[in-house]
Amino acid sequence: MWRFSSPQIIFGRDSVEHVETFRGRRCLIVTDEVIKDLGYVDSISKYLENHETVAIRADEPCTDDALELAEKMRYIQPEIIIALGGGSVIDAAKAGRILMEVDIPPEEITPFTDLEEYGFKGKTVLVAIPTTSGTGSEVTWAIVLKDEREKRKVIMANVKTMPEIAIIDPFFTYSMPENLVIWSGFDALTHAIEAFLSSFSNPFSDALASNSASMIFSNFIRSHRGEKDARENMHISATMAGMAFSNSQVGIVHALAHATGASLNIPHGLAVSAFLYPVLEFYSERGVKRLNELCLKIGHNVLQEVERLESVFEIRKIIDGSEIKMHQDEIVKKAMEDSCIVTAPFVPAEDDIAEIIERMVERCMQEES
Amino acid sequence: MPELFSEEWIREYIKFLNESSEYQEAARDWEGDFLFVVEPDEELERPMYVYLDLHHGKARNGYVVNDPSEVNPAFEFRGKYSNWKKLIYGEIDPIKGLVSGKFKLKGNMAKVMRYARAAKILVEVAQKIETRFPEK
Ligand SMILES: [Fe+2]
Repeated sequence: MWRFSSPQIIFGRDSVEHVETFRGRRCLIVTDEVIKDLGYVDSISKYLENHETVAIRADEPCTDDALELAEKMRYIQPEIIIALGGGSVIDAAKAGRILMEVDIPPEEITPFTDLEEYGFKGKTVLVAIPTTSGTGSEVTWAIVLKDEREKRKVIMANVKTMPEIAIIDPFFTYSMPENLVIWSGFDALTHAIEAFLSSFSNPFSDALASNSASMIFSNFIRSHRGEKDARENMHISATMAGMAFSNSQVGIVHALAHATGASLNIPHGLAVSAFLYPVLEFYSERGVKRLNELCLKIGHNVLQEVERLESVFEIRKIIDGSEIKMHQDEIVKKAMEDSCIVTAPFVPAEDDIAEIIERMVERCMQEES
Repeated sequence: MPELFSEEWIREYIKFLNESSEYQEAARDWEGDFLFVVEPDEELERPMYVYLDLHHGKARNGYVVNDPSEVNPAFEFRGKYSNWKKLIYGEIDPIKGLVSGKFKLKGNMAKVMRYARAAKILVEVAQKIETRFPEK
C-alpha cells in the first residue's frame, strides 16, 4: 500500500489571478526581503482586501525562523497563508503553519508523527506560489531547514505539511538571476531523476519524473538564454518533478547535497549539480537497471546529457573541491544520517559515499588544472 | 525452526544482528531500547511483546515480555500480526509501513529519522531467520 498526494494545481500565465478568489478572507503573505524588494508582493496583494505580509530573511531559513514565523501566525490568525518565494520561503511557511497549531520541536515533524494526536486541526489553507523553478516545495510534504546550532539540515516531512493549492505562474521566473536559473534547473532535474530511481518509485511518480526529466533536457539551455516559453516549461517541469519525488522520495545526490550544504554553506542547487553526475556514474557502474529504463523511456542518454549540462554551465569550475575534501569525513557522516539515503536504488555504505565525494572532488580539481 | 518472537527466535536474532558489520556501521552511535508489540488480529489471539536493548551497533539484551508495564523503553514499535508477517516476508517496507500507518512508532522520531539505514537493516536481519509463525 502506498499513496499519491498532491495539492490542487493552478498553472500557466496569469494563474496568479486565482488569489482573487480569496478576497474577503484574512490572508497572510509569507515572503522574503528580496521578493518584497522586487515588488512581487503587490502582484498578489492587489487582489486581496484583508491581508498582512511577513518577510523572513532571504538566506536559508533555520528552524528558529520557522518557530518565529509560527508565533506571528498565531498572532495574526490567518485563514489563508500565501507563501510567495523560493523553496526556503515555502518551506518556512509549511513548517510555520504546523507549528502555529502544534507545540512540538520542528524536528518532530516526521513522516511518522501523527500531528492530529498533538492537536493539529489544519485551521488554515496554505497556498504556495513558487518564484523559482527548482525545489518543488509547492507540491511536496518535505521541509528542509537549517539547524544553526548543529550545522546540519533538518529534513522534516509529514503529509499534513503539503500546501492545499500550488499556483505555478511563470511570471515570477522571467527575472530569475542567471545562477538561480542554472542551480534551480539542476535541482529540478535531480528531483526527476532521483524520483525515478528511488526504491519507492511507482507508476504515478514515474510518469511525472520521466516526463519532467525529458522536458528539462529539452528546455534547460533555452531557458538559460532567457526564452520565455522554455522558462515556462522549466517552471512546470520543476513542479512535476516535485510531485514525483514527493511521492517516491530522492536519494544519494540529495543526501550528499544536504550534508555538503550544511557543512559548507553551499547553496542546495549548486551542491546538487555537483553531485548529480558522480552519483549517476556510480549507479551506472553498479548496474542500476532503472537508469537504463529511464534512458529508454525518455530517449536520452541521461548520463551524457547531465555531463553536457554540467559542462555548458561550467559547474565544476564553481565548486571548490579542496574545501569539500577537507570536510569529507563530516560530509560522509551527515549524508549517512540523512533519511534520503534509504530510498536510493540501493543503500550505500560509508565507503561508497566517500568514493563518490572523491570522484566529485577529482572532477573539480581536473577542471582547475 | 523458532517461532516468531519466542526466546529462541530472539536469541537467534541477536546473534545475527551482532554479526552484521553493516548494522554496526549504521548504528555505531545509536542508544535506545525498543519494545516491539504484535497486536492480535484474526490470526493471533494474544498480543506479543519483545524487549530489545540496542546500544552502539549491538544488541545488548533481548527477551520476551509478558507484561509491557514491566519495561520502560525509549521506543515502541507496534503493528498488527498480519503486518508483522508481511514485514518479515519482505512484503512491506518498514518505512512505508510507518508512513502508511500499518505500524506505529513512539519515541524520539527525529532521532529515528537519522538512523533510517539502521532501521532497514534491523528488518533485513529478521528476514534472515527461518521463522515459524504462530497460528490460531
Ligand atoms: Fe532538491
